[in-house]
Amino acid sequence: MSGRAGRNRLRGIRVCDEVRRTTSERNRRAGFTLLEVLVGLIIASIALTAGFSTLTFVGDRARAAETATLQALEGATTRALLVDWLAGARGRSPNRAGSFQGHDGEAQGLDTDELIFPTTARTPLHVPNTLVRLYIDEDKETPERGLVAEMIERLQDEPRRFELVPSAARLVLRYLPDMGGTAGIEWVDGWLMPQTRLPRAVEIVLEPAQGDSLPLLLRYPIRITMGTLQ
Amino acid sequence: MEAVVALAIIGLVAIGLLSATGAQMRAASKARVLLTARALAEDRLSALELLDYAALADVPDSLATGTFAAPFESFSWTVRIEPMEDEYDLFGAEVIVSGNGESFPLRTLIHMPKPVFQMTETGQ
Repeated sequence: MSGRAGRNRLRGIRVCDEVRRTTSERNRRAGFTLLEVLVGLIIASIALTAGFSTLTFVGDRARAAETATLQALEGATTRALLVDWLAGARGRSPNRAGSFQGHDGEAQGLDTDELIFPTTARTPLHVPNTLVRLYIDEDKETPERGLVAEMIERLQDEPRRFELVPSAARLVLRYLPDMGGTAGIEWVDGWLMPQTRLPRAVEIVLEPAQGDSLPLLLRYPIRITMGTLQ
Repeated sequence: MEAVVALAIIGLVAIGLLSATGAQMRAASKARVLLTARALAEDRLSALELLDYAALADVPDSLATGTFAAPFESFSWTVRIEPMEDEYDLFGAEVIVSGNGESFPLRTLIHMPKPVFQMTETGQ
C-alpha cells in the first residue's frame, strides 16, 4: 500500500466517525425526555384549568348581565306601554263602550285597585278606540297572572287579556285632580264618573307577591300625565 | 416549534373569545343603564308637565336637581327649562339623568299657557 492510499483510508475513517457522532447526537435530541413531557403536561393542565375557570366566570357574568338587561327591558317596555295607553286616555269612549273609572279597592273592600279607561292609543287590538281594564288577576281558572290588561273595542266583544306583569300581586292607583295648578292639590285614591274631566295625572304603583320580585323599573311608581283629549 | 405555534393559536383564539364576551357584557350593561336612565328621565319629565306656568318659569330646587329614591340611588337628574324665544307660553325642557358612568339627555317642548286668573290658597 502506498503512502497516499493510506492517508486516504485514514481520512475515510475520520469522516465515518464524524458522521456516526453527528447521527447519534441527532438521535439523542429528536425526542423529549420523560421530565420534559411531564413539565409540558403540567404547564398545559395549569393553563387549561385557568382558561376554563376564566371562561366559566365570564360565562356566568355574561348570563347574569343578560338576565338583568332582559329585566330592565321588560320593566321599560311595560312602563312605556302603560304611559302610552294612558296618555291617550279619554273620558268616554266614542262608541259608548265605557268611560274612565278608577276604582279604589280599599273603599270597595278589595285588596287591589282597578282602572278602566278608553284610549285612542295604539293597542294590540289595532282599533281606533280600545277600552282597557287594568287589574290584578287572582282567578285561578284563567291562565293569566298578576297585572293584566283586558281589552275590548265594543261592549259585545269577547275581551282579550294580556298578561303585563305576572309577578305583581297588588295594584295601587292614585289620581291628581286637574285644578289649573299643582299647589295645594292632593292625590286622590279613586276617580269615578260622573267626573266631568279626566284627572291631570295617574300614578301606578305595583307591589310583588310574597317571595317574588318585580323588575327594578316596575318597583318605581309610574306617573303619567294625561292627554288633553277628554 | 409546532407545539409553540399551536399554543399561540389557541391563546389568540381564547383572547379573541374573551374580548368578544367582554364587549358583549359591556354593551348589555350600557343598554341596561340607558334603559333605566330613559325611564327615569321620562318620570322626571312627567313631573315637569304637572307644573303650572309660574313653576315652569322658575323651577323649584327640589325638581331642578336631585338623586332618585331607592332602588335607583345611583342615578341623579338635572333639569333645565328655558322659555323659547319669540314664542308664547312655550318652554324648552331638558332632563339629564346620569348614573353608572352613563348620561341620558331627554329634550322636549312644554306648552303651558299663562293663566288669566289664578286661585288663591283660600280658594278665591
